[in-house]
Amino acid sequence: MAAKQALQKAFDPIWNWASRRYQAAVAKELKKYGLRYDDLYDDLYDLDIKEALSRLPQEEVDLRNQRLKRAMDYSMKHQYLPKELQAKQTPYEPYLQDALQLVKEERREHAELGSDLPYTRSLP
Amino acid sequence: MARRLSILKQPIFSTFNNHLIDYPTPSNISYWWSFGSLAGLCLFIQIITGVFLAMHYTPHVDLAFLSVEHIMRDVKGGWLLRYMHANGASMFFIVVYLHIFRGLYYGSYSSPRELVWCLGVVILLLMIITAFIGYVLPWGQMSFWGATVITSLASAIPVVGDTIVTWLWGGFSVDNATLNRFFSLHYLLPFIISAAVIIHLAALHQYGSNNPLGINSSVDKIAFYPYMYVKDLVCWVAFAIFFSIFIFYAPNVLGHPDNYIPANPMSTPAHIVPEWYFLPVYAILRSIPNKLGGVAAIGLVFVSLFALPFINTSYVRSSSFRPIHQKLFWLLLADCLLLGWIGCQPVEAPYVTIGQIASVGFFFYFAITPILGELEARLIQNSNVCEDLSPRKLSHIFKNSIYVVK
Repeated sequence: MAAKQALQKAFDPIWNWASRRYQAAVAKELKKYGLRYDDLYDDLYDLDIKEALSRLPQEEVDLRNQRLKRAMDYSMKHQYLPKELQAKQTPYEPYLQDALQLVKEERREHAELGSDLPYTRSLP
Repeated sequence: MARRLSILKQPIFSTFNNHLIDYPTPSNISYWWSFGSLAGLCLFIQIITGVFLAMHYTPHVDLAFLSVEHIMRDVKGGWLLRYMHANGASMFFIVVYLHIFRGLYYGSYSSPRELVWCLGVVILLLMIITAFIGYVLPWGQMSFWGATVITSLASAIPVVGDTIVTWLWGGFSVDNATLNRFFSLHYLLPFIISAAVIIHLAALHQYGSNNPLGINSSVDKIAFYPYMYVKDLVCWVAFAIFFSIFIFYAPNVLGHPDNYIPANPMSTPAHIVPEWYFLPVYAILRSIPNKLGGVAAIGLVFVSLFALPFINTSYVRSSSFRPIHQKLFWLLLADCLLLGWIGCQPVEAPYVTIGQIASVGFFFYFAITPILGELEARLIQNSNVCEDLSPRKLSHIFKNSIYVVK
């Protein structure tokens, strides 16, 4: 236990440094297109994402769609968001992760109970 | 009234309209997305030139080489047909390799496009078999000895290996029976490839194309015609120029001069080398000292490609937003180029060691994929370093939503 804590204490600074560098690199790219990290989650990738999006307030979903459309437009033109707008972006402000975790937790509970969620059940 | 009577709305034509004209395409797909249609063009060129070559080719060990020379010298336009077909195969592989690497970089293989990717791997496998068989037909030294080396690999299979090789050869060595059946299969396989391509496109059209950002593109789609038709046309013209440079100025630069020597079973060439597009896989084969191990390694290459969508754990598709994967991608590309170079070197130091390290490097990319997605997610979600990720209450997210406990 003590060894584990010592190892964690030694590893944490390296992990935090790596996280900081990684988050900065990803944030730089997200800001160019005015996207948030949660915008990268595609509801086609996983049905849980689709379910999580359906539980969000409509204005949150509308804002997400507007950001996606803006990013697609800039990507098509091979341009980036103006620098002054990039400075205002908050790429890591979450809006989906909590709902997604909840949906996944529900799925786990349903699996334990032996019942399927409606959107995973196949036709009889 | 006129729109209802439009021919594009009638049966059969409506399918053509729905998938090639009014088909919704992401607005931001770049020229990297043109390689798919270009690969289709290459297949078409190979089939047409191949059919016309087959009208003059003779699949007999005593006449094959001479018939190819007859095509080159006597048949009107025969030289063009031959050079288009030979270089067309190289172009096909260039286009398909770029198409594959595009898919790797932008995560086009990930859900929900797993089937598209797997069908693509099947097409690649069929292409490799077709190209290998086709290279045997001119019956030059490389044709004969390349066929002997590669078909002999089947003898590594325990118990039934030798029986399989004899069955493949149609005799006790690569001879007339082998050439005949290879000609038949080389004519057949491109049509199997065509069928696989149609299913590949059907699978693609189920969910639509990916895009450079890897995001859901349903918010901004445009009709395939005229936008992507024109974009693909630009690519086709650029390809035609590139292809023409090889056909008219350097038609033999991608080939091996030994294949202009008629096949001689009594004389083994100093270095038996396949065409350039097989060199990376050839290098992996030769890096394992054991014959069966080498064959298994080749099998593992395709198993790895096949399994990629199912071992991927990243929710983020595009490498633009995955800096670690981006670097691994470029390392993989460099590794494949290195393997290609090693494949044409003799089996001696230091090429053997470099080849073995490069082979490990190739498989490392696939081995790390299941861990990489999780690692990247944890790096992002480390709330110790990012104030945006500080714990938030759920209630303010759901204040206006309808939330039912199931």
